[in-house]
Amino acid sequence: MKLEMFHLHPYRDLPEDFPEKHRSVWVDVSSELFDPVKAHQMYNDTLDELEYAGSLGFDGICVNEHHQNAYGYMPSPNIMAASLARRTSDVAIIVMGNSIALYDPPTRVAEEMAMLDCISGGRMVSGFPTGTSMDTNYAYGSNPATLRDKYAEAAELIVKAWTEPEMFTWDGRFFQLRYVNIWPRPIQQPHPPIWVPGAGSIETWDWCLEHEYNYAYLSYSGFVRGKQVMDGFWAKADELGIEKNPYQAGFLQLVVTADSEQECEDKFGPHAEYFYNKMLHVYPGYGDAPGYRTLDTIRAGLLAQTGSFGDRPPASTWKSLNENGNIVSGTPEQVTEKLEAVAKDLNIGHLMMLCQIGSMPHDLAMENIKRVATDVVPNLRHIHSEYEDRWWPQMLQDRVQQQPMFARETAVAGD
Amino acid sequence: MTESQIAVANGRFNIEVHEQGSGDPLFFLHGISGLDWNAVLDELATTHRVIAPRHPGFGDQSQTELDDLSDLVYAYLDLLDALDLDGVPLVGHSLGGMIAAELAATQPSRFSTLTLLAPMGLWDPQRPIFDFFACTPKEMAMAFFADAEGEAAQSAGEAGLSRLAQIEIGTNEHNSLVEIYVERAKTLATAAKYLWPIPNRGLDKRIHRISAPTRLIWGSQDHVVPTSYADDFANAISGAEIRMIESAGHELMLEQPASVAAAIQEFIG
Repeated sequence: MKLEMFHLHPYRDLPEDFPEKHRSVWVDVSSELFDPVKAHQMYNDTLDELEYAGSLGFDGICVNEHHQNAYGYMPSPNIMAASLARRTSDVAIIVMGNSIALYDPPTRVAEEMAMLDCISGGRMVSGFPTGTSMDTNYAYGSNPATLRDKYAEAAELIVKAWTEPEMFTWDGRFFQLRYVNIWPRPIQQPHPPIWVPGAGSIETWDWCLEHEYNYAYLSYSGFVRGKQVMDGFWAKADELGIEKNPYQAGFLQLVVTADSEQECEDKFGPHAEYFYNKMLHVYPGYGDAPGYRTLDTIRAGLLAQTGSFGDRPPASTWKSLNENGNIVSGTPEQVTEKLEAVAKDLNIGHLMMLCQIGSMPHDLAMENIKRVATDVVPNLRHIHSEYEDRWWPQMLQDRVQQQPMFARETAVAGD
Repeated sequence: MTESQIAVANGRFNIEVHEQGSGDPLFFLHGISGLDWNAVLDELATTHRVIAPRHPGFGDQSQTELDDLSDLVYAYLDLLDALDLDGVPLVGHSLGGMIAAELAATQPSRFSTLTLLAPMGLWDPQRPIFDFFACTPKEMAMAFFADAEGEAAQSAGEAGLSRLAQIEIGTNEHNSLVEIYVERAKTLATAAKYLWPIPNRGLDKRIHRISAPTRLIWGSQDHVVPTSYADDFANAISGAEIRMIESAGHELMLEQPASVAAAIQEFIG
């Protein structure tokens, strides 16, 4: 399987009384809380952390897109990806942004991803998120009644812009372009792998399976809820008669490791609680714009885990976060064992690990990234090796088909 | 009351039409809460043949023929043609008031009178209309009714959508809450086509064309569309008059049905 490091780029310095004094971390979060000088440090820390992960043996590094959001203030993932493309090599860059329905014309996304693919030498994975309701409807004003139709049209247009050698005309319901003829074109042919980040909308399952896109379930709810969603995805694959190739699925999990459980709690506990109790403090009125979810998804009971239309969840503790599977923590052996079970149980070939969480300072994030990269990642690679990963940059396939690192090290040790 | 499906848009789709009463026809357009055959319509049906379409998409969320307000206005012109309605009194509430104003501006001579109940459609950033797309059920109930403690507001506020995510899936309680959530999605999701993110589709550029005698009826405690908008409409429509209904909010038809019905009947005769 592939192991990736995911970064939300959270604002690490919200005040202690944030949840009491402010109604939302998203959409209307006060600009008074934002210090651009601190942000200078944090942006560079984030890039350092991702570059470090890339150099230590993670298979991919992931950036994402949110708007008007203090827990993730990377409104343009492409800017981060451009920087990473220059400073890394031999690692996939997974852009879990570009909420394609938001960009008019969507060919801008096709162009930027083609640029990044050329700069990085064909290492890009192109995410096609619908985007959350907070991002797309409330912050960007996109109409929830037509968002999904607009998304589908944008996706079709982008893929055609990448793959059609001749200039063409697009006369759609949402976009009209007389001359579509992008320069540059992506290195990867026919185009970079497409991953569709989902938050549990069941229509997204059909969409991914029918188009042979990767379905990446991004949630902070952990593997317990993740199991429910992924079971739904694979049941749909069965229904459509599609092979349950684990590489067609990705999953996000918060992961921290140290020498003992107690050390984990001492080091990471406050930062995890900061993330869940402060950063997921979203005004319930922004949870789900009417029309954002289809009636089928509502009926399936799979509402968003953040800011779902209702009361705020009770405060989380380190203990509850571990019990509920929101966080996987422990010694490297314990973490490896848990993640192996998650990878097999959910049948996922791409595990995106969030190794910097909430207010976690740079030094501690680097320590966690290093520990996960050296003591966990190599011990998970062998899982699902019987499947072909058709959702990965071709030029990086050789890298991961090498012997797992731990096997090489064992061989060396045994010499 | 009878229900029928009338083909519009050259047969591409139907509009569901509810009808009650006899006499001269009256064309009514419902608000963002959906088509609810309320006491005001009952009273109007004692003197008129009340014809009330359900806005396409309200009720099933599957309407994809209509993308915007212009599409909807032309669909209603088709419906008026199909029903052979001319010289008819036009009444609209809330979102329906906005659509009614658009129709009366598009075909000014088609309507004998125009009655707008707390219409949307004009926008002043200094006096924003309540954002019913970004609120909790309780806040919505508080905003839509003059008396937040009243029966109508209480039953709406207690709908309990907030608890949906915390109730075990598959239980009866969960299922009934899901249905409420589905109903909300059906009504507001379609309203979003015409009102998202700001209920302003440029009516101020066309409103001067309205020539039908016009009456504006407003709940004096409307927390959704502030009463000051009555003046904006009255200033923009030649000869328009204003009637305020006491002890009523945006859902004035539910809170003060007798006063609202009387204010309409007095005007249209």
